[in-house]
Parts: sequence; C-alpha cells; structure tokens
Amino acid sequence: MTALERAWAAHPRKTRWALRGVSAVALLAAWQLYATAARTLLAPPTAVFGAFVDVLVSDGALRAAIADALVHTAAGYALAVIVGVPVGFALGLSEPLAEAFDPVVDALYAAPVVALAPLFVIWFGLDPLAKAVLVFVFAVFVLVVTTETGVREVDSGVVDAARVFGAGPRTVYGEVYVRSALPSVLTGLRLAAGRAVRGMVAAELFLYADDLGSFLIDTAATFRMAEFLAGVAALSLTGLLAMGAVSLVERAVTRSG
Amino acid sequence: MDAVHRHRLAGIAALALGWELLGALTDGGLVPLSAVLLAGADLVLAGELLEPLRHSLSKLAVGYALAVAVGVPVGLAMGFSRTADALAETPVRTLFVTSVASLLPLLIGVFGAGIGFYVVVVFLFAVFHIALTVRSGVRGVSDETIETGRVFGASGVGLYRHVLLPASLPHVVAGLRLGVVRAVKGMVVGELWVYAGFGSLLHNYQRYSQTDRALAVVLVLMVLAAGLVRLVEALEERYAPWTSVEGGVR
Repeated sequence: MTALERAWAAHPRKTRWALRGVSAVALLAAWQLYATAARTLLAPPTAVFGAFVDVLVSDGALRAAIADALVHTAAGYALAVIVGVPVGFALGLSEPLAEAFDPVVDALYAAPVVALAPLFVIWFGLDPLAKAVLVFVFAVFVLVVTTETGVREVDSGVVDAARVFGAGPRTVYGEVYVRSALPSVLTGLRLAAGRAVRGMVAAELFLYADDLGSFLIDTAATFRMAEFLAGVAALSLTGLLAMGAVSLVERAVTRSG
Repeated sequence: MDAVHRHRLAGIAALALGWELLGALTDGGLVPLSAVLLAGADLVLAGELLEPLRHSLSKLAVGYALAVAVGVPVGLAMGFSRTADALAETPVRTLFVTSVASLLPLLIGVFGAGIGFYVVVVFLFAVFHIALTVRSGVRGVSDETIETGRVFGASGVGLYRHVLLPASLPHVVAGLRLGVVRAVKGMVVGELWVYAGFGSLLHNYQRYSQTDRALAVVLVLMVLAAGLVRLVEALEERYAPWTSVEGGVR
C-alpha cells in the first residue's frame, strides 16, 4: 500500500476529529502564549472571548448594531432574490439570451463592486437605500449564475416526458423546471446570504458608518484589540448564521419536495 | 460570424443602448454611456489612469504571488493528505468566512498606508479562496485515475508526479482564476480605504459629483479584472490544455 492510499483509505472519523481538535487547541494556545508573552497589540483569545461575551451578550451594544445593519441587508438580499432568480431562469431557459448576456453577467460577477460605493453616495446620498443597493449588487450575480446553471441542467428527458403526458406550459415551467432547478437555486440563496453579509460590512465601511462601522473603526483606532476582534468574529458568525438559516430552509424544502 | 457571436454582440449592444437611453432619461443621475466613454477617453489621454494602474498592478502582483505561493501548496497538501486536511481545515475555513474588509481598520493601524498594507489585504483576499478551490479539486480526482496510474506502474512519488499533479492542475488553475478575481477586489478595497490610487480617483470624483469619470474608473476596474482572468485562462490553454474546469469565476 502506498502512503497515499493509506492516507485516503480508512482514516477513521475519530482520528480526523482528534486532529482537528489538536490543531484548533494548538493554534489557540500559540496565540495565547504569543499575545501574553510578546507584549504586542494582539489580544489573547481569552480576552477576545471575554469581549465577545461582553459586547454581544451582557452589554449588547454590538448585537444591536448588527441587528440594525441587518435591516438594510435583508432589504438588499430580498431585492437580489426578486431580481436574480427570475433573470437566472430566463438565461437558463433561453440559449440565445444566455449567449447574449453571460459575458456581461460573468464580468459583473468578477468585478470589484465595492468600487461602486462612491457612486452610490452621489446617487443616493448617505441614505439607507444606498446600503441596501450595495448589498443587492453584492448578492445578485451569484443568484443569477447558480439559478441559470440549475435551469440549464434540468434533464430534458423529464421535460419531454411531462409534455408527452399532456403537461401545459404552466406545469412544465411552474412545476418541472422549478422543482428540478430548486437545489441549485437554494445553493444560490445560501451563497448570496453570505455575500449579502459581506456587502453589509462593505456598506458600513465604504458608504457611511452606522453603529456597526463605528464600532469596528473606533475599537481599531483606539487599539482596543479584544473588542475589535470580537466584532470581526461576530460578523463571521453572522455570515455563517445567515447561510445556516438558508440551509435549514433548504433541507426542509428539499425533504418535503 | 456565427450565431453565438451575433448573440453576444446583440447582448452588449442592447445593454449599451439601454444604458444610453436610461442615462438620457434620468437627467443628472445615471450618465449616458457615451459620456462615460468620453470621460474615460479623456482620463486615458490625460494620463490620469497610468499612475494608479502602475502602482495598483505592482501591489496586486506582489500580494497575488504571495497568495499563490502559500495557497496552492496548502490546498494541494489538504487535498492529498487527510491528516494535513484535518489539521488545516478549521483555521483555513474560519479565515475563509471572515470578512477581510472588516479587518481593514486593524490592518491600517498595524501596517500603515504603505505597500505592506495593500500586499497583506490582497493576500488575505485571495489566499483562502485559492487554497480551498485547489483542495476540493484535488479531492475530486477520481479513484479510477489513481487506479489506472497504479496499474501502469506509478507508485510513491511517481504517483504524485505523473498522476495526481497533472490531474489536479486544472483545479489549480481554477483556484488561480478565482484568486485573481479576489486579488483585484482586495486591491480596490485597500485603495478605497486609504484614498490611494484608483480609490483616491473615485473619492475625488465623488466629492465633485463627477459621475461620468467615476463610472469610467469603475469600467476600467471591471475590464482590468476580466482581462487578468483572461490572462490566467490563456496560460491555462498554453500549459494545461488537457481539461478545463468550470468554476472559479463562474
């Protein structure tokens, strides 16, 4: 047996989890030691955790700030779903449309959309609308692309079978296509939720700062590292929770579907 | 000209026309495309884009090169070895989901506004995406490929050298492609944060409400990102033409 096969074959679950635990503990310990011994700016993990509990649970300042920011984010996300999914459907159904607009969608998907932030300030002013629109731009293209892929990959045999059995356009598009493309659309919804939270952070930092942006900027500027890193961690967690929430919906929908 | 190209042209023409009309109708808001292109031509002729482009590309190149130098080996190791994967997965994934933009206020305090800052931002934007794309690609190399390689006598180092690495290369390229996209985003985010290069252009045009010029800069950045992706794809066609992996940008 080669080393590779040994590694790939029976690597027991337990070992994997043990290794993961070891690496996490080792990294945290190294961080703790470095931060306490080497008098740097970096706060040790224990302090970050303490600050995390403080700003999110007992004091709750950051919790309120994130909740506020999530309002614009949810609006932008909803708009992205309303626009992105139908556009993706249209591009997935029509070959000529896809040929016409795929290059532009790809270019926009790859574009550094945060560069639009200064323009949004001109167009919308320092208004929550600007934030919602930035979140929209962050989230919409991944929805278009995933929906398009899902619709394109619908098994044409299934569509033909439905037609043979007398299904009208309403059934074919409303049932067959929607159901077959659903997993891909749901993946898009999940990815877009993560992107929307990134858009939220960008909006706070590059449009204008509400409580969330101020929290990050002030704690960093005054080198309150523990609080700052707690804020960064809280934002990661927010992104994960948003994606997790969509995953729950995903599981519920595909099970009942 | 075949149908695909005709459709593509029609699509671009339709969007350009739509933009032009919308710009003409919403007087003062969205500027018509023609005005944006004129402003862009002005900027290019006046040489205002040259300086930012030169600086940005060098920051981009250094940060991206570092991200590739770290991300590809880490991704390959995670793909080849389950032990390496178990050890590295938690930190890499944690940093992957962390919004690098949220770290900007800290990074500027630690690194100042010098080249180091941009390099770190570009690096952080790209490295985890590269590593995880490469990892999942290598993981996806089929057992049949490995088995066939073994039947033909590859073993030990030879299996890596002649079977696994070539089979993984397209996935490495997919990682490099996504990495370029992320690196450009990192560069723009960094420059916007410190009002340097393209960021300072954008902020200036915003201050004086020069929508046409700001949009021209945004277009230039889009073309830059798309052009760099094309460059990676050209390298792919040259050096790894045997299969291409969708993904990365799409």
